[in-house]
Amino acid sequence: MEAIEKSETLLAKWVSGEMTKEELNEFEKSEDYNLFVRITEEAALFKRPKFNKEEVFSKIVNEISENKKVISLKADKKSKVFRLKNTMSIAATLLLLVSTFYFLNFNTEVNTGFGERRTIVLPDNSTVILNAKSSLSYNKKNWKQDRTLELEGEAYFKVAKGSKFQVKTTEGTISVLGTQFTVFEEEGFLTVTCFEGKVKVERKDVVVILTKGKTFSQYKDAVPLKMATKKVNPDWLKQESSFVSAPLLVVLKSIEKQYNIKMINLELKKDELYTGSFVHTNLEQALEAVLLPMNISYTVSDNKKVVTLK
Amino acid sequence: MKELMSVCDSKVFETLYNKYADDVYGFMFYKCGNKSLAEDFVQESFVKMWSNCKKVIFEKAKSYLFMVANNLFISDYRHQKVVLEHQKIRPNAVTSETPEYVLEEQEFLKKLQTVIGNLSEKQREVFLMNRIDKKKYKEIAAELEISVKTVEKRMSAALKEIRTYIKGI
Repeated sequence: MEAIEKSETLLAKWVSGEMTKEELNEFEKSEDYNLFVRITEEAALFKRPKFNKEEVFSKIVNEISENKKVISLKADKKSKVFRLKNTMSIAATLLLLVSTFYFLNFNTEVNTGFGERRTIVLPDNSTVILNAKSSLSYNKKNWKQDRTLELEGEAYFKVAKGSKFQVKTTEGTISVLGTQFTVFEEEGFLTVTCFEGKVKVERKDVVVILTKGKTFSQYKDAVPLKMATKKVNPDWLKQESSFVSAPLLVVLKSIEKQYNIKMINLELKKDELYTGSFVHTNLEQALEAVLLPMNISYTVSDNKKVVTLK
Repeated sequence: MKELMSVCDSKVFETLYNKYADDVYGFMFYKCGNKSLAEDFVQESFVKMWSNCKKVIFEKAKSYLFMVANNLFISDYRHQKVVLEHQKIRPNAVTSETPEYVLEEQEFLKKLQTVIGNLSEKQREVFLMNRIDKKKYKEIAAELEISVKTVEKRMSAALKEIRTYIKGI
């Protein structure tokens, strides 16, 4: 049998010009040599249909900008907003810029309603994502001199490098130099997670410096907890809220805000601590995830607006 | 601090598109044989890369795209028979060859076309990436994330199969 038939790779080596002289001499004498030459030469003259490169690219840009909300959250903080080639998207962007400008011209207060979430770009390009039923206020004109915000509720911050950046809440003050972190405060409970850089948390007589991947949480005057986290973004950006050793009352209030519902007997087991998470997209799942492990039974009203705990 | 090229940057993304879209398109066309389907796969692969841009390392973007495209192809059922156009198969081509020769030539090309369409995808993509795109085995191996030896095996097997088919009829 001939060498090319025996070997699994020799023919390929012939095509790429890697056959040895002896192998080539032998192959050239073989019966099928001319046929192989013809096959390889003719096959090289095939072509594939033209690729509409530009058209496909503009389709990609369209698809991306339709999903832009999600994407910009995932995008690197240094990445620029994707250049939009679609005129509709440009119009939308302009509208957004104009309205933001109008908004920022006054001493600004931003509020979110039930289940709502808003992204706010501060004058120095720091970004705040405000979770449901929260409020944020700051002075736009003075911003360069004094980067101080007041927060009620929950927010995620991506801070541009610069002077001291302070977030004041009724539960304590958080200050940083350039970082990403989240703050959650409610009813005597404060939790701060640092995703990048360093964050200083001051609460009554407690002062804690958080480094990347650390979470601080404290309920009333209990011993403050400092924990490590592997997360790179807060869960609520992914339509989920998660808690570690949070008082149940705080978790339930958070569900109320997310779903715009009213809970009866909220104070039941209010000081028990809950660790876990609930989704923002399905009330039944959310209730089950929190109340089942806490051994609380409940009924939901027909219009799904009132939940009674038992 | 060392700055890595981020795929999340729109300019970088556009560069990657200009650099690799043709290759991904070719790869998909050789697999599925349908121009618009191949374009859909290219579109989906790049959109996927953008939404996972944080996880994609710039240097690995090409193999990421090939991998995603390949998975999209596998999960899609709309495969068709691959039909290629040949530069010589033109109805009114002026030629100085004898009619017998032209006829024989046309027959040969038709057979070649059929047998390439009937090859397994794995053989066909390697064979056409080498023949049409003039890619070296090493490049093909890198794009498909297989060894050079595997590329050579598929190439040889493809040639043998084409030969057998053409001789057989």
